[in-house]
Amino acid sequence: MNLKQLTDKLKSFRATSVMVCEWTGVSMQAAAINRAGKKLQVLATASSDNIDPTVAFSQILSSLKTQGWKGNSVLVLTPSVMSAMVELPVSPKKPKPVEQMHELVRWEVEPLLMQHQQQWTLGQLMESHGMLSASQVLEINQTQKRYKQEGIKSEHGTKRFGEVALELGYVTRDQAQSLFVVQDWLRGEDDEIMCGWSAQGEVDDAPGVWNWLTTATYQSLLDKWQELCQDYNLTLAGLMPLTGNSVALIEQAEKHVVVLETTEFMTTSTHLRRQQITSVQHYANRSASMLDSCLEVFHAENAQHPGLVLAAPPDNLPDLKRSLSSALANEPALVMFDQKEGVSPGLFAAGRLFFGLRGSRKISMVRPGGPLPAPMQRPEVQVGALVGGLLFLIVVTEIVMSVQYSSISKEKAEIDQRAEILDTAVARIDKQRAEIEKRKAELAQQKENQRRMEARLKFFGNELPDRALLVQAILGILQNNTTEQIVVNRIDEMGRRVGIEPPRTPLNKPGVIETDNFNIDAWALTESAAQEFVQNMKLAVTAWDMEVRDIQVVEKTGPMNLAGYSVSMSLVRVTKVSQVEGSAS
Amino acid sequence: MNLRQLNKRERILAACIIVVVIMAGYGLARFEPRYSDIQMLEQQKQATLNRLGKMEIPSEPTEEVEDINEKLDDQENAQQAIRESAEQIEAQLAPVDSQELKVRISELARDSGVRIRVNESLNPQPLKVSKSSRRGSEPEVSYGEIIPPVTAGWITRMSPGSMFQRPLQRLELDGSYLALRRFIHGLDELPYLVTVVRLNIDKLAIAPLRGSSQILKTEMVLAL
Repeated sequence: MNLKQLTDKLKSFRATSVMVCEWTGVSMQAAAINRAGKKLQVLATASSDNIDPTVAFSQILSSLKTQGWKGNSVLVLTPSVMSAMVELPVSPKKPKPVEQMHELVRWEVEPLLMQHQQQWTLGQLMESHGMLSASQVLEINQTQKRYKQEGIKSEHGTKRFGEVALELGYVTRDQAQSLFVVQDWLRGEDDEIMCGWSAQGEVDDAPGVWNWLTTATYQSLLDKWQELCQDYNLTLAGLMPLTGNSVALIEQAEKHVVVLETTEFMTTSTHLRRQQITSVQHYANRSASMLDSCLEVFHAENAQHPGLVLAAPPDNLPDLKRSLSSALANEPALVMFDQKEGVSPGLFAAGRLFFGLRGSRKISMVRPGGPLPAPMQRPEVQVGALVGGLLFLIVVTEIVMSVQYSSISKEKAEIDQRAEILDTAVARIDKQRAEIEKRKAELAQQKENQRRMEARLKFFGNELPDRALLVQAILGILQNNTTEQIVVNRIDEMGRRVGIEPPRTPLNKPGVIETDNFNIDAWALTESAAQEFVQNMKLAVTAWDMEVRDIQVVEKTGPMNLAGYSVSMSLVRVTKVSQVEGSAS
Repeated sequence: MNLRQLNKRERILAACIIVVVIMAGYGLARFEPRYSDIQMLEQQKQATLNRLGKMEIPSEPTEEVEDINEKLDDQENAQQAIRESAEQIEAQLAPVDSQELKVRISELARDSGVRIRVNESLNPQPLKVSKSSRRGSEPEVSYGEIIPPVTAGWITRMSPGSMFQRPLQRLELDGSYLALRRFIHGLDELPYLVTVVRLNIDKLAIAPLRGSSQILKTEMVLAL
């Protein structure tokens, strides 16, 4: 759903078309008005001269629907609604609650409404409808007084105006009967008063007191119109006074302006100052012409050189303007409203009020159920505000979560990418290291194999042959050094012996390894021969990296009990550790 | 029922119900799953960050596989040269349980003038190596070809389990010193390598007859 569709959907909840009925008490005109942006558009117009408003309403509705009107709302301009300026100590900036304000206004307008309603006598209606002239009305009133003085009464008591008029033959019974219907729609019962109001400016000489333009009518009249609308499945938006509404058409006025609005039934003058209404005057036309009525209310206004604006039914407006200009000798600057697509200015102004267009707040209407409270006090506004607030909260939450989600997703993607790069690098390095370790292990294994092969080669190639040579050499050395005074008793390799005395040389010298150890036991005839034997052995074994250790020369009896010396020694072959390790590695 | 017919208390109650229903619906149907997603993403991000923080990045190896391969090739070449030398040496070693060699030794003794009293195989204990293990536990023992140290002695170095293992033959001989020397020198002339790895010579207590040589009692161990 795009924005335009949403706007259209929201618009569908608001009325975009209204039928404005203007019932003058003599005839009924109506227009179907649509809102087109900030302007109004007259969709269709209709009129009826039927004196019965229910019949006229039916005819007009039928005509408008034939012309394509499909609206639901109806606004009625009727003489039964009164408008008046009241002064209240209520500032529009600090309005009272609706109930309290309603009570204040009702208190003020109740006598005015009663006075207004009293205008709609049968005589006035007959005069207005042209059934009687002013002189005939006067004659009937005089006859009524005379009957009263003479005590002539009818069945119901004092003879009424209608009865006298019938008696004098000025009207027929049918004519009188039809006017009863009209009177029934104009005069309400003395029941509850319903009001509407709009704030104007502060009263000049009374600080804290404000002018309020009020409209009022009786509940019974409101109910009549509401029931009539409900019969046709329509909704009555409100009732407005027949005249005095066209002031809402003035968007920008001079300092002082008097708006004269006239119909064939009523004339109203409205004094406008700095866009605020300061006074309202009504005049029932009776048999007077529109011109006379206008002059009457203009002079009653008592305004010095105001601007003058004339509002009248379109058919009467050019002639009326001409004659009024002539009558007033062009003293005030007289202007008139532009042609409003064939409808009266008051009707058009009512449409502006219905749609809440600019300037329309100056006037008011009487709504069924009472005036609308302040916007924030209206249940539908409260519900809307609540739902709007919740939606706003949800939208904010959604935006916050969306931003958060987006931010975390972005960060996570960056971190994941970084982690992937690192993982790849680590895996590559690990693989390289594993490969290198494997190769190094193979190398170490090969080195170990080589070392073992070299050790085996050295053992069987060098050490064993050396050993064979050493054994031969030892036997050779002994043979060479054995003299007639020496007897070798024993040669063994049974390990190092422990002598009588502790060994002079340590068992293991640091840095050398003893590999072969030949123990030799011999007997010498003399001590010198023994020492010579030892000495010779030392010299002989040196060539074989051998040392003579643990030498013991002890006097001991020898063969055939000859006195002599026992000689023992160890021939030890020593090898430096470095040589062994070097060969091993 | 119209909204205007509700009093203030009922309106507040209705507003509360609307708020609760809308917020609960939104919370359950939308907020909670979305919030869980965000939490899960955050946890995953933190887990990855923690893993990265604790990750130990190994340093690039300083050695190249190609260098080690070259060393391996060099090693192989060197080993091949050693193997060829070893084969020559191995050729000098008698086959295991070579009776022919024993016959030759007997013939050499006879020719050298020594009398063999004992000629038997010497079977020393097999070598075993202990590997280091956990403190306090019994050392693990394994058997295999080991290289005994030089100080272990010839017989030990050539025992079973050693890399230098060879058959050992223990001989007890009687003969004169010269005959013994002839015998020992004669071992070099044998077709295979025979080495005296232990030699014990004792003079007999009996004096020789005048004009004859002293008889020696000799015990020797030969590595075949």
